[in-house]
Amino acid sequence: MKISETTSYPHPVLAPWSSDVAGSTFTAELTLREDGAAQQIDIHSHVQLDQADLVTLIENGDAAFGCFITCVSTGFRRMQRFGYPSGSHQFAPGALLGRVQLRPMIWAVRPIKSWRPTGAHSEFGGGADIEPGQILALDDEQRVDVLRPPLPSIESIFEIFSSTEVAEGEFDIDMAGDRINILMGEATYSLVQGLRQTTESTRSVVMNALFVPVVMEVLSQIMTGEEQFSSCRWFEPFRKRSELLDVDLKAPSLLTDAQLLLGKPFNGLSRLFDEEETDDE
Amino acid sequence: MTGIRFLTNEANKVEGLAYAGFETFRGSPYTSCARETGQNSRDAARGSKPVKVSFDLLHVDRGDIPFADELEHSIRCCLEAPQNEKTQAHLQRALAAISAPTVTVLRIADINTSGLTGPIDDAASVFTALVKGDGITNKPDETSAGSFGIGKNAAFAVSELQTVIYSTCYEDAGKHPCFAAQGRLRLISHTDGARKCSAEGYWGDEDFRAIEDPSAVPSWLARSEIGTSIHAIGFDERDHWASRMTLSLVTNFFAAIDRGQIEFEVDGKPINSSSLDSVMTDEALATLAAEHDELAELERARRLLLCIRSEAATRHSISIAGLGDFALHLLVSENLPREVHVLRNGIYITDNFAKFSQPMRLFPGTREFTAVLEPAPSANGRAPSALLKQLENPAHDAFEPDRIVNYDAQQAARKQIKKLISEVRSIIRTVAKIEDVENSRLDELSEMFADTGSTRDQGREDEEKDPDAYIYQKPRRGTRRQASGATGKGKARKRGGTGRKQTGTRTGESKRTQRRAGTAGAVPLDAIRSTLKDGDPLIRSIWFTPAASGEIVLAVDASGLTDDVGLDLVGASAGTVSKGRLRTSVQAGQRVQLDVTLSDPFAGPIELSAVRFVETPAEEAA
Repeated sequence: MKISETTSYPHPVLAPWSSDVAGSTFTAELTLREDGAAQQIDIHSHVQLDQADLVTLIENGDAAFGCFITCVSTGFRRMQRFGYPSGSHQFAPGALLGRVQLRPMIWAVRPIKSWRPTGAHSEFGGGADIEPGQILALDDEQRVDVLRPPLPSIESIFEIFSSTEVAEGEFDIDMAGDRINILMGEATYSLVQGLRQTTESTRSVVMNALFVPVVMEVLSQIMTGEEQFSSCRWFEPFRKRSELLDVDLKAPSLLTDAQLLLGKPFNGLSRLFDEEETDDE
Repeated sequence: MTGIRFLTNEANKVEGLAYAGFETFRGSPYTSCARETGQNSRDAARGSKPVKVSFDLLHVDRGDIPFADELEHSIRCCLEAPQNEKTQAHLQRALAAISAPTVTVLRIADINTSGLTGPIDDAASVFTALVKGDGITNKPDETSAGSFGIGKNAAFAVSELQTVIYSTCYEDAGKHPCFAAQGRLRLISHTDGARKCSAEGYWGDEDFRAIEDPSAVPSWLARSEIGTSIHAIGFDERDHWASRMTLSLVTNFFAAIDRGQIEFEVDGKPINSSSLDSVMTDEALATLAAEHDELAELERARRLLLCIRSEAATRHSISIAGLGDFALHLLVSENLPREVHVLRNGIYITDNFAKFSQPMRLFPGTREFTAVLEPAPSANGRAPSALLKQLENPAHDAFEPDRIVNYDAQQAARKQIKKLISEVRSIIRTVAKIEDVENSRLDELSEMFADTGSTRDQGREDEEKDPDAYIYQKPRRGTRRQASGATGKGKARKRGGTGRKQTGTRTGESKRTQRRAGTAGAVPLDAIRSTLKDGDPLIRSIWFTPAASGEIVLAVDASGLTDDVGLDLVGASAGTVSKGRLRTSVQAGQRVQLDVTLSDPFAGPIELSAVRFVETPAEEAA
């Protein structure tokens, strides 16, 4: 569909560049919002329309508002209907990437007899019969660039591994590598993964049940001589965090400092009760 | 002669106001009335157009209520009967309502429905079942949303007079329109003179018949369009009645509304597929929902609507042997509550299969999700829909196998539903499965213990893009395309091209049509307008204002899907037509109106362009 500001329609079309329909405006504010975790892109629309006849057509279901959306890099090309005056639509991950062009418009959904909106230019005479699909109002095309950001430069110095060497229900740590590796049996690993990916509450449980003792163990090992770890990549970030929080790596208080370094994770467990109370309400 | 008649109470039965059929809906009268009447209209859909249901308040002069005096008399009789304090208070309110100069009436009217089909004296007709039936369904379709004939009582719960008048227009077997109106009321058992009266009475013609002559009812009860109007007389009008009904409608019918199957209008405000988003995200509605502890229902409806609409959701067909097909919509995303809800006929039913020992509350080992399960929209979904209807309880909050009385059928249903739930769980486990990898970096600790800059992996390029995230700017408005023939430097759009900008001087020449529309010969045309002359697609009336004076050659192009296509002219009201174009004389700034005749009919949008006429050697010779 080619839509242009120079096109002349055989009926009045309300548009910011046209005098077909005087004394009225049609503008659409479009915003894009990403659902961070699932990579879905939502487009939200809010329409300002003060042409009463068009409003009536939309409210009666005789016309609809939407956007003609094109995205060259993904081949996406579609007329997408949106709610009026507000609406939203969620697109599949990757459907819109690169330059996205959005042309807001109102079009007829059902046949309209003798369409002659208030303010229509006299040259249109007594009105025109409109077929479904014909454009009744246009707004300026809007463009947005959807891009992939550079990979974040921050990664964790901790990594968990499934290992057959460790008994189920237990875990071990290996501090000799680039990261601090936490090793555990397969079932325990699955349990930890499940807890990490379930809810904020279960993530808090992992923070307390797994990470607190791990950090205590790390502090304990460093206390025996930090030189042995100075060549490990994980050590510098760990040292910086300790320095920031005034944790003395030479003489740490294992339980207190581990909680401090992990941002007092026990507080996060209160969510368990908050959620239950919410459920009860 | 029309009037109110009560059934005779020969057994001296003592009947109070707390009729079970009404009491079911007393706790949430607006919510129930909206849902139940909306469901009845949805089930009576006729033709392909969406069912339209309106909820309006009427303020009717007492003099226009033909049964006002009789009803007032009956209420006074009831007040003389033995009763408790609560009943007396209710009857006093009813008396005040019917004695007032104007009586408030809630009218619930539908169109694009079949109406309450007769014949009115046929015990098996929909009209009789609704107006006079108790505990029987009035719906011929086994897949319809309602089952019990109980829902109709919801309208009585919003009437202080416990009086509802039905008026309907339906087609008889010979497709002739028929009208019928009748009222039903339920007060308390009482004595009227020597006559012992039951609580239940009817307003209508003699012998408890419906009124079939539309001129015999006041105008506010009459209707000529096929459909049904329900009038709750003495409407219990409290604050926000319309918003509370709106809340009920969008939380129950969001799918049917979104799919264009039903539209509502409450107190003049439309709820249809266009306005649904605005209504559901209205802050005032959310505040009201919170005040009435219905925010959870509103938020659930928003989630489920997102799930059935989202292109990020996956769709699955589930076939159950011996039953039919279901459709499952599954949206996996953070902050969703791991839920499976059931819709039928686009109406929300429940999420509860607890009576099948399948509460569907816990989904261990899965990411967060929302799922919607419904009978397939195809013919294979009819049997599943009928089964769910049999299993659904009147409160619309659970499926109960014991509702099927036949033991074998009940056992078959149990097996089928358990199989269905097993399939649903299997799909959810597959699609929403927590990723199974042997090691995982603990990103949740990266804020505290960041492996930054100097210690990052070797060989990783800074330019590497994050596959798990997007960034985008605020949408900005593009450059408008200039009128044909406009000259000067700047950014011009290539006609019919890819939409990329090209910097430089516009050439104005169409590569496809080879027609010049720019450079020094182009004549800019302003305020171009066109219409089909008398609706004829062969003759186009065109208007424009040229920016230059002199002889011009005018070309008309059809604005095509991707490119413009030249339209050949064969005649014009002025000037001369040659080689499909029109040569005519114009004055700068002076409005021009022409009728041009096309070689082939074309009723769509056009592009108009003009260049100065330049005589070619051949033309000079001629």
